[in-house]
Amino acid sequence: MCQPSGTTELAEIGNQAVRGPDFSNVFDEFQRPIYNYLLRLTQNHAQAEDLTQETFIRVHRSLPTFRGDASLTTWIYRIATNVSLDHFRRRATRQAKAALSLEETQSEREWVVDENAPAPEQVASQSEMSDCVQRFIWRLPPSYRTVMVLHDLQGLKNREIADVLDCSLHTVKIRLHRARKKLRAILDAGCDFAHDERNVFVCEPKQTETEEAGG
Amino acid sequence: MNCTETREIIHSYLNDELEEQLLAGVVSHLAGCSGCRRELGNLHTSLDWLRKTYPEQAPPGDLWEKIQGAIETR
Repeated sequence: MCQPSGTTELAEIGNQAVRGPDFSNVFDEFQRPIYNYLLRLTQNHAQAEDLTQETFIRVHRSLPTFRGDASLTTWIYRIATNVSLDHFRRRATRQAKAALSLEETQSEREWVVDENAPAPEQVASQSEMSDCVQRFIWRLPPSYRTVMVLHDLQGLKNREIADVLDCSLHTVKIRLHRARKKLRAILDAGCDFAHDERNVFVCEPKQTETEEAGG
Repeated sequence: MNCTETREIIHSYLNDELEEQLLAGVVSHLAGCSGCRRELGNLHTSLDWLRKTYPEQAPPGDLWEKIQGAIETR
């Protein structure tokens, strides 16, 4: 069984599996990672909050039947992942319906890389880095993005991710490898980035040839 | 170990997931190959970018109350 990658509190929660973990303890332990997981997937604070609420409502409902067959960490991440997938499916359906009823917007939509991508202003508010850079992660296929967020930002191990996504360890490794390669290619194509003389990570959008010629 | 073999498992190296024998092979290859060291450096830089761009944030302070309210009304 995978062990939760957390603290002694987690171990205690796991030990409670026989009689059922306490919901408030589970919430205290997981509210921050699950909120950040969903924020990184949606890049929208309001949506992340709604999806976190839905995740913990489902956790509350299912906790009495949790028997510890999976680790609590992978069990809760699996619920959060399913909640996010439901959200993106509903959103894609709404957008498809809107697209059908608004033919005049078709030409504008052709450039969109990912139907689930957040609006630029939502992305820009996430940090002080330029919004053009932040949109790049949305060019990753969703399955790659999820694995990369789980591994490189949430800190889950490949084995745990395989349990969360119900796929093989081999699949996780391949997706992570490809996601990192794509991210690198995207960054290479769109940005100049390096550590400056103060060792601060800096990033600037690359100038196009036209801009360089005109500038 | 050559460059192709090293780059196939360089992500596992980065994840600290290599068994001892493979780890020794990668370390030995990296010591003598500037191309693979550069590839590893690029990977580090990408991950650095990712973590800077998506920093951890605090959840809303009233999340517990909202969830409790939603559970009670369902």
